[in-house]
Amino acid sequence: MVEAMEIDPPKGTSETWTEKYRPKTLNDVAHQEEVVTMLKGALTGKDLPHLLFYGPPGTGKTSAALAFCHELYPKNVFKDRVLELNASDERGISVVRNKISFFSKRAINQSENRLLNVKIVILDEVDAMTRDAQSAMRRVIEDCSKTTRFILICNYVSRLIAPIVSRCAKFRFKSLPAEVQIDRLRTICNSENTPLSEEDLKIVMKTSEGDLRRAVCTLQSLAPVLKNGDEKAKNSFLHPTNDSEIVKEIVSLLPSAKVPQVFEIVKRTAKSCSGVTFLRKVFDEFLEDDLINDDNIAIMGKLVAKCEKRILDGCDLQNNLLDFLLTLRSTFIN
Amino acid sequence: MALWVDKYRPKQLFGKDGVTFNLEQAQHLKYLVSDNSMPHLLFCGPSGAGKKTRIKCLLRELYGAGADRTQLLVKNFVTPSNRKLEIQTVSSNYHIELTPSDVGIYDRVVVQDIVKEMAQTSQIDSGAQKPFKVVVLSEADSLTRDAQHGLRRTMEKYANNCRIILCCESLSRIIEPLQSRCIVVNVPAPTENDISLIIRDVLNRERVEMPEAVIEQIIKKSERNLRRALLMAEATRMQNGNTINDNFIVPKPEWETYIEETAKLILSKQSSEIVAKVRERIYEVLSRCIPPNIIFNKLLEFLLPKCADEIVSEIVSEAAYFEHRLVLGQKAIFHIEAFVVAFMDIYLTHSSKPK
Repeated sequence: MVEAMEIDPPKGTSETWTEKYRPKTLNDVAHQEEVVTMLKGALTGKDLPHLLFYGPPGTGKTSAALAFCHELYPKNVFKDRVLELNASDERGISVVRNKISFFSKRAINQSENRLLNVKIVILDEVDAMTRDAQSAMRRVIEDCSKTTRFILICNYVSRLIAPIVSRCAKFRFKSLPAEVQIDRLRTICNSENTPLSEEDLKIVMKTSEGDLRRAVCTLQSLAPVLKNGDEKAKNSFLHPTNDSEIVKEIVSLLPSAKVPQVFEIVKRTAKSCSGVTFLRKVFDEFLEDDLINDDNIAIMGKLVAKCEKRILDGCDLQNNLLDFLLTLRSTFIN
Repeated sequence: MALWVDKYRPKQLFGKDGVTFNLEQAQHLKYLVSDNSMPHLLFCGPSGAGKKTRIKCLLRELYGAGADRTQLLVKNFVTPSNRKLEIQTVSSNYHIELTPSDVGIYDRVVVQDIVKEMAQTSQIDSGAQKPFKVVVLSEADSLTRDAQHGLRRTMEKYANNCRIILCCESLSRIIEPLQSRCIVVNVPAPTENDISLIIRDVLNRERVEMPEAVIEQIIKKSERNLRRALLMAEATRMQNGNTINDNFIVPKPEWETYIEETAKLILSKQSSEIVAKVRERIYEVLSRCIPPNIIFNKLLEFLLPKCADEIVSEIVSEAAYFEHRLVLGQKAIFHIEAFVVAFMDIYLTHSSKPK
């Protein structure tokens, strides 16, 4: 398969903001001090172990790895020294055996700078690799450690096999706290000339749940609305009515609702709500209002987990919603 | 002659010919494409809510009439294990539309290749057109995990000249990292009021008179599915000509009546003979290619109103349990029958309890 070339965009056109404002240097990577300190150390000549980055989406794992490589290698040798593989590439066991081990065994012309005498393999989304492929990696990582460093990136470290994990220095990428996110969002707002009030920024941030990429994405889709100065459209986008209103309604109605009423609510909501997130929101709302007594919290938590699993497995939303609400209701009656 | 559904499909996002419900969202979509920087989009919502219509409008908004000149192409892919795959695509000069889950577990190969293929060529005259092309992937929720992971980095890498629009029914089955790369556009089903307005408008334009009572029936039976409502309205018109009787009853689908009768049978008596009879009937429905989860839902829908309030919760729990098994398992009949028996048990115990 021929690798498609990444075509540099004509200036000032359609780049998505998530790419445009991707951290270009290590200094730009927000809020991950340990990793950044370690990587900076490596830039100045300290040892560089194999690395394993893990953490929730949108916290800067890929960005940190790429930024590090870009700072380490001058542009002319970059292509030569860095192999980036992600889940979009074929990554079965054969690729590990051929492509990766071929790359890591290849000799490179030695340079004065000791730092440049090492190649880097970035394996993005390792948790999507098969077990077999992961096992095949074990030996490759050790055999080639003289000339090659691996940076593995994944969301869930538990999905990697233990021998791989133990070969790397682990770094957890933390969810970004509110201030850091707001800060970053404000910088983007300013440089894009799309003024957004502090409250609105907060809403954008809250809906993205610590995921900076999602926040930036939301911001970008908000930009044209702001440019046109359409207050109404902006508000309807920032405060999507359906979900939160239905949740409120359920919270107020459910404790005293009759069974047919529950049917009616479910019928109405199942077609307009967003599935698992909705379920979670209802549960959170009940917890917040302290409506569930302590004995029942465990039961309900278990139920939420069960319903979520079912929905994720592809079951019908309506049935599970009904099950959830009816059981929730029965805890009020007793 | 085009069906009403197609004839009166909105042609634009906003304006005279625009979509008629979720207006604020339509406005926002229009804003999104007005700039040169459309993000990746993820449309989700129940069927008959207008996801595809909105996507079509969006493409027309982006590329003008050129997006309508589509052709059917059969594309070939080869998996690493040398299996040949064929997939139907609809494409214009600017976009390509396909349903990767058509090829089952090999969908990963398709999404990997198609995005790269689209991204390899860029518009020659980037001044005159949008600098990017669009890949529309339908039924994204039935993409395998592998395929979804495959999309992650490609979406970012080739974002400059290839944007992706995903279209799915349930957002829950899309992995988190993909959601975080897209703007999620939730398209809720139209309310009964919306449907009523649209039907009346279409009837008006077709110059068909339809009595109030019949329209009400159609709205009720459509279950907030606009496509279904319009098809029903047209069917009614076809059956009756221009004079529609006041007390004409819009027919339900035959299988629905059949399941309703089955439910009545279950309620009439709980015994092993009845179970045998029910099994026969369920086989009958299954052999007519009615999806098992729909049978399940309908059965539950007809059974529940007849139950006392105390046992409803228990029955629903059982239903959810067996439906989950049905999704995981292979043969539908076992699970439906197991549910029927479980239901009978609960029902019988309750009704034979001394009051």
